[in-house]
Amino acid sequence: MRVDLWALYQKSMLGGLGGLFGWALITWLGPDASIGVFLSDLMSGALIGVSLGACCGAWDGLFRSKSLRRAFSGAAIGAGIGLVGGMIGLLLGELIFAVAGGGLAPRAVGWAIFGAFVGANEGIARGMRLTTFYGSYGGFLGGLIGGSTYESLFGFFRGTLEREAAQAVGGAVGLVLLGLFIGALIGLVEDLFRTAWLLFTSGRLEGQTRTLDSTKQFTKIGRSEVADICILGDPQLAHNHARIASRDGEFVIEAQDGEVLVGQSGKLSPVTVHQLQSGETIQVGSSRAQFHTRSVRS
Amino acid sequence: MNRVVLGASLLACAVLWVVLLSIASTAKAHAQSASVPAQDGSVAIVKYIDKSRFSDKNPTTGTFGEITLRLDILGPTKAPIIDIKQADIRVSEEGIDCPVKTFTGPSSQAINVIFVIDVSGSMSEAGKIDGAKSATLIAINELKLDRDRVGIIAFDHGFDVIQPLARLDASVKQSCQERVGRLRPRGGTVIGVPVVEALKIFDQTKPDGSKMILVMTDGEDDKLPGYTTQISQMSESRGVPVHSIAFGTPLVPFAKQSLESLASRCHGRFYHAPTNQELVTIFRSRVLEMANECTIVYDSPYPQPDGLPRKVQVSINTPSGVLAANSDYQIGPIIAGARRSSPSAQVAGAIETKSSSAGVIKACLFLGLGAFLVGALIVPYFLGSRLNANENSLPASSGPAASPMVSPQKVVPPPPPPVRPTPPVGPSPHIASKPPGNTAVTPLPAAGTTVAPSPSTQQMPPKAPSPKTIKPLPPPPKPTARPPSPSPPPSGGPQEPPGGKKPPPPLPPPPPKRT
Repeated sequence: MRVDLWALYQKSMLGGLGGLFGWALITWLGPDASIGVFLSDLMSGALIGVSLGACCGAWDGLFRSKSLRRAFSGAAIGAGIGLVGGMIGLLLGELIFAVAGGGLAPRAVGWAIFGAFVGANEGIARGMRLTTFYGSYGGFLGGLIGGSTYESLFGFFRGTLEREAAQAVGGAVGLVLLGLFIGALIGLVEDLFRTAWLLFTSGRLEGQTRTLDSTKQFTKIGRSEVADICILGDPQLAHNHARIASRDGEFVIEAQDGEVLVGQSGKLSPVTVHQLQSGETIQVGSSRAQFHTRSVRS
Repeated sequence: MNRVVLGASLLACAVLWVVLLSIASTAKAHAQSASVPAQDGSVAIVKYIDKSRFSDKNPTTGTFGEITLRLDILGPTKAPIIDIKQADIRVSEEGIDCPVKTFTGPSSQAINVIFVIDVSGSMSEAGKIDGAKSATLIAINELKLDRDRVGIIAFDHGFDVIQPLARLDASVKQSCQERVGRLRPRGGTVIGVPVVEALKIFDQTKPDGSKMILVMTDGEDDKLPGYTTQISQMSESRGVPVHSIAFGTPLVPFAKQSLESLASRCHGRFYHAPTNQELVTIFRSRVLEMANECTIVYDSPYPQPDGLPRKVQVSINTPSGVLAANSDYQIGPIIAGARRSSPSAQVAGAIETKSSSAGVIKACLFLGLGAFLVGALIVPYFLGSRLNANENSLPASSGPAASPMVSPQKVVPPPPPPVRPTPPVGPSPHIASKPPGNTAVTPLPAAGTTVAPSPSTQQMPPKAPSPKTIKPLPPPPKPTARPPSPSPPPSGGPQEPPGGKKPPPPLPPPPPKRT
């Protein structure tokens, strides 16, 4: 079990930034209180969902692949999924809140549902079912924690500030915390639950991990910006250098347009097709990575 | 750790956090809902805030945001203080004075009560059915003729509206006595359905004055928790509290829990009446307490439901002095405060000067929080990059990993230039786990030597070159991290010269061209 702390930190900060942009959007562009509650929730959910989804979706391009193009495309996909997810999530949450008659716990559950929809966007964008589940569960937990904190903050600030100011401060800090928790829990749940991953030990991605999703048939590695594991700036790497196939819970690396070396700690040899074992090192281009698995007990 | 256990642990932590915040929030609300008694013990207590008409447009004034406060104003002997006038009352919400539209003193307003009585088979034991009948009739006697209204629903596994909600007069009173007298115990216990029916009756008749439902049962209904949410929502929207009474002994834990939950979610109270006499006392006291309630109706200064908590303060001039009572309520959607809530016209002037400062606060918040978050992202990233660049210019020495905050990891030597075998053209997609001869470890060439293709690899037909096939290797890239001095490679791979600069490796021969 390995938690990528740096990635977790980045995701939580980006989530917080998404929450802040969402707050700004609904504060200055959001619906007026005169329109219906559910229509208002559709609009607010869309605005917050777009912000959170865009920020979370841009993470891979900004900090992992270091590709602006990938960051923009990730943000666009995240924004689109976040828009729909935010609308549905906040609407469902409002229904639960209304049926329960209000209160802190139902409000937190409502935000948890919103978080679940937003958290699924990365997995949906990458076509990874397990990652979608991890993201949803992490988003649910983040929404539960962040939503309840958001609710409490207004009361906390109300004790010291005027109503309008408390509303502004509580709303801003609350939505930032909501985004922060959603981002952090999405990353944490994925890191804790994943059963296979690559840990890059040299090259451009040194120190980073990449989750291997057993529900995704092929995980492509290469210099192409559409590759699942994109390693830019390595002239030794082909655009479609290799791929890792998932078969019956096992992972098999297959060389495509480039050379793949596999072995144990320094003794690497070229392979065409090779079933990976935990602890083995692979080399693609000038990047080396260790393959790790975590046994799954029922 | 098992993933299910891990996931459940995370959920438990999150739920615990929510529960702790709920408890803190409730405790704070209770503390804020304090009543300040006068020196002689007189006290005013806000018991219930009726928001059912908040979103209804007042036909007379055309305004929204009507709130009804129900409170007890009690003297030193806990008897209601009756000589209070509307002019003696001051109400403020969120610090803004609100004109009182109507004030109804104790014993001045109509009481509307529906009794929901259990007549299931178990009520035949120990004379409980007689106790229920006499308690109901005694409570009805406390109601005022030609002002108050009464309804009675008897239930077992079904229900009968034996007295529709009607203004109490001599004939209605007589009818109640006859119909209650004819009740006979039979059947099972289904509580939720008759309570919903009672709420529907209030919805259809819309009587003025105070409203309440009194539910009495000696049994337990495992379907009641499934109705509680619907009942609480209807109770909230109609402004009808529901009080529940568990009758008889022993008190089954499940029945107590479900009835308590019903009462608390419907702004009512739960009682346990172990004997017939206790039941009579509870019925009578509930009706009297309701008769002694005062109501204050005012329009909220924020007539749009914005989800934000609102503090309400009531002060009452009495012969004993000024009594104060505080409470709070929330009305509106899940996303508290997101909807821009305009104050009513009458108070807009009072808060106009505060709006401009709120705009400045919002702008500062956005810029400040944004700068903090962006800085928190960018600064560590650039620090890590600079550290990386500095390490690249240093002689070979140990150094930290490229990115800050990365978990410690084993630093490996930079990869030597790979040897290019000619991969086999094999159709089998299945796992070729180290077939002999194909994946034998090729010894790494020493510096300056020419590498000849190994015999095993030469046996394989070469792969047709594709446009994207990597050409013969350029010089290896510079390592991104300086490792500590490694032990020499076991098979005599290229040694790093002391100056830290690797000589370019010899270029391997190009692969044979396929014709």
